[in-house]
Amino acid sequence: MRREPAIGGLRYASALVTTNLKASLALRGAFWLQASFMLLNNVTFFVTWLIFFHRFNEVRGWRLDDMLVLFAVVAGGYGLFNVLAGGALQLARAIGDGDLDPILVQPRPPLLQIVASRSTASGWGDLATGVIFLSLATRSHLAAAPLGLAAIVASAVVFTASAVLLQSLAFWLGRIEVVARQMLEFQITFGLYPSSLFGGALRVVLYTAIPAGFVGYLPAEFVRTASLPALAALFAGTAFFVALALVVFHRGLRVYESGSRFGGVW
Amino acid sequence: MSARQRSRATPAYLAYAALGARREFAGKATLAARMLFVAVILLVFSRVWAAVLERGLLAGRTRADLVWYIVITELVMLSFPYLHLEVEADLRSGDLVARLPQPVPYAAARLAESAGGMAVRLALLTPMALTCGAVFGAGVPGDLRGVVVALVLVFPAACLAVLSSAAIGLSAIWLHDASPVYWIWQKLAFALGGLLLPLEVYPHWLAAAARWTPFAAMLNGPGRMVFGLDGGDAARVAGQLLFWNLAGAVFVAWLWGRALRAIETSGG
Amino acid sequence: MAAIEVKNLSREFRASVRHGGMGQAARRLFRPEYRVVRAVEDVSFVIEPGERVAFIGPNGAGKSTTIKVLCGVLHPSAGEVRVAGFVPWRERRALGYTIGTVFGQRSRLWYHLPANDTFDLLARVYSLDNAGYRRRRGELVEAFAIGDLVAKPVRQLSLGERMRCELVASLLHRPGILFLDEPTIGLDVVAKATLRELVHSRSERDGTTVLLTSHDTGDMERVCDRALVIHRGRLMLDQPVGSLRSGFIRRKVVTVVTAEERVDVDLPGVRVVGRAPQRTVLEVETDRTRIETVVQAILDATAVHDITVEDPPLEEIVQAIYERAERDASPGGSP
Repeated sequence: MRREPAIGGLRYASALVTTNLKASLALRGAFWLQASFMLLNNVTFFVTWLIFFHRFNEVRGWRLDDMLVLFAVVAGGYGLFNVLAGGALQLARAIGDGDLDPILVQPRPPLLQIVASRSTASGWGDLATGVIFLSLATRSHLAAAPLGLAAIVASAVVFTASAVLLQSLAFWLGRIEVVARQMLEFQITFGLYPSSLFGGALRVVLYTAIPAGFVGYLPAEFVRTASLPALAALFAGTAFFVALALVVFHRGLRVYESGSRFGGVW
Repeated sequence: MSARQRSRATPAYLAYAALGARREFAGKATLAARMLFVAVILLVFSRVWAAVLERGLLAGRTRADLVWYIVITELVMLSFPYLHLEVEADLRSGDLVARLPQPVPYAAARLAESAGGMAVRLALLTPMALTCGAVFGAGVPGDLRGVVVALVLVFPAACLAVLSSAAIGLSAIWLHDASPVYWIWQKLAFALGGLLLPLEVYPHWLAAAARWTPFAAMLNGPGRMVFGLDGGDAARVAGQLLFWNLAGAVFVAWLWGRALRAIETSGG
Repeated sequence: MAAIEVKNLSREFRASVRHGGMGQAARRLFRPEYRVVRAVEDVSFVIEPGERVAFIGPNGAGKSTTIKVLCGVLHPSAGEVRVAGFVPWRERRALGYTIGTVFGQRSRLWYHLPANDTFDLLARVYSLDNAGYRRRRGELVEAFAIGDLVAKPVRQLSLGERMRCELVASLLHRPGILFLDEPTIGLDVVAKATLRELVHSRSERDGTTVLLTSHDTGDMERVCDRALVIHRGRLMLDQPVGSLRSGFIRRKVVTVVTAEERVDVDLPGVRVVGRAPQRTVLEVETDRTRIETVVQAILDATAVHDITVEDPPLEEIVQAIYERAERDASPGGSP
């Protein structure tokens, strides 16, 4: 076996990311339409919150700036996830159709290849929303800006891990793309509201089954307070979901049937 | 078109409507998922409004009022089939061009199909939506007659949404990708129609401006009926919806004509 | 060391049973019912380095399943496999450097990008050094005549053009073993011929072992030296492609063009299967009358302008093999 120096792995990873971005830019017209309209879409959506806080000023300790940070983290994280790891959203379909085959015969970690095999143009619009909202929210205390970027990265990692986790269930359950996507939508929806609104059992759900807390509330809390405990919790949660996603995906590979279970050709 | 031809065309539209209806039954699971989604929104906003009301920031409204308002507006947004996706797909696959020589005009057939689908959606979703309203609103609004009027108005409001969706789908002829246009339309409807917040909490200038748009007639119009029966206001909303539906139909017809010309010159 | 060694390979699939109404569907959610399908059953063979082997059989015979196990894509249910000395599903990464694959129905090329971009990425996938990669790519691009295709987005290529690019993509890292799963599926006659010729000449030149699956006997005939025939998951036949004919069917077709209107040959096992003015087609059962005897009889009978002696099309031979397999299997009543 050829031994692989680490540098080769890095060069491979950067080539993969470059190729992926090139592919998403290949259809220039569609790229700009989707990216700019997604930004516009997010800004228009946020109008509801502008109106809300204009009228009520503060709810359960939350103000407009807090909402801006939360929205920035969720949109930015989801955008970064779509730009760099959009392939994760295709995983369940690829499992069902047997599209993992050409990836599995290459001598590289399959999950990395799948995840980075697609980049969604609208993701750039989300990412831009994140950056713009973040700079608006931290305009008076610029020190928080780097924290915000770190929070966006953490949020993107948790989004990727949850997408892989949900979509990997297709190894056992078959055609679940729609459900998997829906679950991720729930994660976004819940992530967009302060979790101080939710109590008891629901809050537990939001940090476990639907890890909305880790893509929104917790990273946003870290930006707001710059506190070490928030950082520690964020780091632990992110690491946990990444590890879980890796384990589930690799267990799934063992029962991968290359599309044969669902009426394929033997 | 002679009278005899017309009498033959009517069952064709009915057949398309039935087709749309059957398709909705097949997609029950998706509908249930979207309803679950609305339940999440209702849950969130029942908490939001509870927090607002406990600080006495909004006089004269109960939590039930505000949650049921969202029940109605979401019912409008949920009950129209995504015609733009169909039209876009037909344009991409060339099915639209293939269907042009058929005796029933494509646009009319698709609209009939949507109407059938919408009827089924409303029948399936209304009980679910009302249940969610009772659960998350912790009760029902004081004046149930208002709820009845609101439910009646949901239908013309959803028709307006279908017409919008048709126009968005046709835009794919020029833009090649209709989804981004749909996002913007949807978010404008949220903001200017008052999907989550009734227009009365908006700044006055914004509320006044929003009332001139079809979005306010489509969402806030039926939604605010749950606050209590007001015959005059109900008639006004019904009139606005009638006006915007007519305007929408004219616009779609005009767009359809332009689209046909674009297809003829480019060969699809 | 053999290039590929397969011993008693089996692979089962559990196909979920789907019938009945909503109630049963709900029950199955908690207690799923499965039907076990044996896609591959107790298959054994050895392939030596440099051999070109065709794996043929009708749809659903188990060809693709076997090749996918050999590539490390599927885990087998039972049996031992070594490819280039590696156990595929356990040493997938190491195996990856030594094999090349083309799956006819799946693409490795990035759809919206020119094939060159995929090639560049593959150079990183296989850690090729820059100079060596450029040389190899240049050589392959020339051999496969894709010089003016590699700069166009893949989506603009015809299927035949795309498959040539796929093949180049699979050969960049000089694999010792090449797996081709239905490489000519969907191609037109000309594109098929080109692709077969390219695979054959490349493997001769590089000494590559080739294992291809196909349900088109032409692939086997033009590319391979040896055929494995699989049917209902079992290996039915393993022999050189050339001897498939002589070994399996004792029948030849003789076409004669004569000066006279017609010619008649009255010999046992010879019958007329086609007739036109000055042209006669005869079918000869070679174990009843030798072909030389028949030709001599014709020459004695009339003045011959032209005469051809042919084997029946391979397609027919393979069909006969399947039919015999079917007959052999039916008393046992396998599913």
